[in-house]
Amino acid sequence: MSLVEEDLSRRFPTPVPVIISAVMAVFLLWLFGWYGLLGFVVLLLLYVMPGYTLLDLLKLSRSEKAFLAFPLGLLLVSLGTFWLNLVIGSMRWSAVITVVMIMTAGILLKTVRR
Amino acid sequence: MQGMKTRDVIALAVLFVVGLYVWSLPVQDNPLPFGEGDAAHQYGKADFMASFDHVGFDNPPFFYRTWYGSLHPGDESAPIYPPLYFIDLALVQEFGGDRFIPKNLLLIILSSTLGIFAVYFLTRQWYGFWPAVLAGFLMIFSRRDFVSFLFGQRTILASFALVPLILYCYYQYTESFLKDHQHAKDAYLYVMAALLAFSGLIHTQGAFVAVLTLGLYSAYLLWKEKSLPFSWKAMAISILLFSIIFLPFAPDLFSQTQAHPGTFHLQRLSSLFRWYEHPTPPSPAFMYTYGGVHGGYWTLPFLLLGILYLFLKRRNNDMLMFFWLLALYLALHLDVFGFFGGRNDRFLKGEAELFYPLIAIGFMSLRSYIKIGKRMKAYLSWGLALLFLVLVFSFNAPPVVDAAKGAYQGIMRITPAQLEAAEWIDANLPTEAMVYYMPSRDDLPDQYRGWIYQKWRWMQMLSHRAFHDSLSEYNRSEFTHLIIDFSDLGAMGQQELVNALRAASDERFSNKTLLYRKNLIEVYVLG
Repeated sequence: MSLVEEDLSRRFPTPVPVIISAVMAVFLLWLFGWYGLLGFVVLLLLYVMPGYTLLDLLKLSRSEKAFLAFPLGLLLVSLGTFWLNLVIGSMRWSAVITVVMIMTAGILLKTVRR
Repeated sequence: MQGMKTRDVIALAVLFVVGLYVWSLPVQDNPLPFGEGDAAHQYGKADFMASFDHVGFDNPPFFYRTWYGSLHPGDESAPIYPPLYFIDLALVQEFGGDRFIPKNLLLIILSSTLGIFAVYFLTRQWYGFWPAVLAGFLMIFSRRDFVSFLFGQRTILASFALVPLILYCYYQYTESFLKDHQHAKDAYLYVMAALLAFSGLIHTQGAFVAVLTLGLYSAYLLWKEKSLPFSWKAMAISILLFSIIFLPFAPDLFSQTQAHPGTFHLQRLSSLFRWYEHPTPPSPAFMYTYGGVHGGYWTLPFLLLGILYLFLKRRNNDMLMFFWLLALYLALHLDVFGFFGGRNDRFLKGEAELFYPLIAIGFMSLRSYIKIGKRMKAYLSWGLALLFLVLVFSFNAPPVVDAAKGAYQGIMRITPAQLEAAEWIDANLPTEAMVYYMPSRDDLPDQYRGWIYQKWRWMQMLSHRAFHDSLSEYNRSEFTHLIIDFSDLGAMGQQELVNALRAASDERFSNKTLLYRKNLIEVYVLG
């Protein structure tokens, strides 16, 4: 790769993740319709993000975080929802509070570490 | 450990798209749920949580007086499975905006994509890119897993899907500990403990194999290194973490196990010389043969080659794979010693996560037998991978795709008319209603019995009311309502059976008042 090409590739990062995300979205839309796409977004927000946040604090590698985030998020959110629900009596609010708490704690701890 | 590159992202995207497409074939045109009794109960539990915005330790009240209730003598409200898996399903239903589609998506991801990605990850980290890709494709077309998914044994698939991740985390921890005791990466051990607890709470059998593997591997490391492969402090914290997550739900799991106690006595010792031997003629038989579930026998030589590769290399990760194989073998033969009787065949559902990486490793190890330059070796890898994929798509894919396309079509699953009736019952009948479902299994010829059994299970779950179809198990007076579903028989043109059903309902319940009549489905309140 020439220096010019290298410079260009830095300024314009590889479009692969963008293309793949777009293909995924179209695929889900085609396969399951809007609710499929919405369901997938819910999975990312509800499970992948909290899982990733926790693993980020534990300083695992990027690929490890990518693969472990989803199952760990499934555990964290369902566990938090279960116990909080015993206190506040609403499953959906328990889930929202669980996710917000994990994300907030993650961001705060990361900021403090810096 | 190797860093992931752009080609990994592309490979994972392809695996995700192909896997999701194949596994979603049964719900692409019709999103209504399907499966046998287990499927209905598991789906119904999540549906109840989402519909009533409530989770708790107990089963939904309409589970009482069913087989699930009978597993806990004296406490029918005790659940057979802890609630976490169902909460995840309920939440995606709640926030996904639809009763069926988002949950279908998560069910497919938990039953297949999770396992595909876990196997890809483990194989990629330890054995490189090509074995990971090939193992991933084999996972997509794992016939035993797919048929289990169709039938509704979905929790066990998710439980086994976590095993590669659990083993990876433990391996990473022990490697870092053995390298430098002072700077061991304890985080891996904590993540492992959390995932192990989660696996056990989804289904105990996946966690059982993981614990057995970890025990054997730890003993090996102890023997090899002449010292413990972990620090007591980190292990104590991880056990504490496991206990905090797992123990609150343990009483339900253990009381269920007591309902199926095992007794220690040696039996069928000859089966120890086979990978697995079912104690009785199994059904369906193909699920218990190597060729039936792994696309014929073309993969068998490569499986053996993969095991040979482990023995030749004997690095710690190779030995961990070997002890995983040994643990699975031991689990499959527990019935020989009187444990897990009648249930240990379900450990076979953990075969794919182990066999497919080994087959891919064995296949790609063919490269090492050919002495050529580096550039030519890259071409050889591509060539071998393409050959492997051709074989997968020729032998492994067709039975899975055929099963997917033909699964639960038409009246073989809950129909829109039955869903409408279930929703009407949900809105109009008292929550404590006990509904007698006709046609009962006794009202129909043998060939319809299995089909009608799962029909009323689904009606029960989708209407959130207790259903049953047996007057021999319950008193006539226990039933408050009657549903007569002529719709399936009508669709099949079985007028004689419709007439017989009408006569039987009049004979069985003379005092009844009509509440609902639509699409050949009638609901009555019983006098």
